[in-house]
Amino acid sequence: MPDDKRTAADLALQAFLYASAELDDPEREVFERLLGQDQAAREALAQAVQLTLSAAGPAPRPDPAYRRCVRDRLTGGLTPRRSWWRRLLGRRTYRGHPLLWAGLGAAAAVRRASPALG
Amino acid sequence: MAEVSDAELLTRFRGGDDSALEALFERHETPLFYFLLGILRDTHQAEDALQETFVRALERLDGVDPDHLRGWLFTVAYHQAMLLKRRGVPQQRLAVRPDGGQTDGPADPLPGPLAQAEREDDAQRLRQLLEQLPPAQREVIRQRVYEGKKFREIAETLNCPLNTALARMHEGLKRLRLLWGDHHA
Repeated sequence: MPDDKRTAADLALQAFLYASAELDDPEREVFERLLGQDQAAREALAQAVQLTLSAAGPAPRPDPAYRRCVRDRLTGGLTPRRSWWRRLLGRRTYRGHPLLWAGLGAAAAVRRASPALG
Repeated sequence: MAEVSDAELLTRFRGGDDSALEALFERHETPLFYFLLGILRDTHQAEDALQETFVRALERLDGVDPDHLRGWLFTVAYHQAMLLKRRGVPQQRLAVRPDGGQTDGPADPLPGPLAQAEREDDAQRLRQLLEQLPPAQREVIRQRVYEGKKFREIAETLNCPLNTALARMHEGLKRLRLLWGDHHA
């Protein structure tokens, strides 16, 4: 059997054992390290889980509500890019922006130094 | 029409095209979710980690080759899963007996097929579909699902190598999945 096919088959079986918590501790640690760097192992694990879950019907999918949370968190940050003034006035960046507090601090210092400005 | 590449979708997303983000979800969320579920063995944790994965991965794209977005997503997912595992969040699920009852024994690492088949008719269909499998594959799945045996125990019972038992399980599940698909068509 060609090496690539044997490796793919081995990964599939290892993934099954890992997903079923049937690897002993040293084997589990080795496979988890592999998951950290080997995309083929990752895909094998995903497929093993999907096959196992789909034995009783359509495999479960993630609750799509998470998509809105992701979108909200991303659009409040750096992506997608918005014009500089929109970013400055965007509520989350506005409150925490260091220039805001520096500006307020400077304004307070000027006011203390020149009460007539009050 | 040729499929749009991840690199193109990222470019569109950064340009403000929300549909591009939806396309990225559609393309990657399911395998990512199963990957996370395989490590965390808890649906709620996997969903939480999935959300963190997309946010962190898409916020930190500097230096990432857009053509290798999938690998980057899985890398971030892996680290999220390991972080949760190190925190030692206890699993809430209970083991499920084949008759549908629950025990307070150790949690099954993955919800077994019967645990998912909430309705009796689904469980009935599963039994019918199992009958359509080759005997060798059916027996492995039967012992795994209905008797809750570990693969090493099944291999010992059937007097075959562990890899053989696993391969029969793997092939049997693939066939079952096809049969379910035909059944629901």
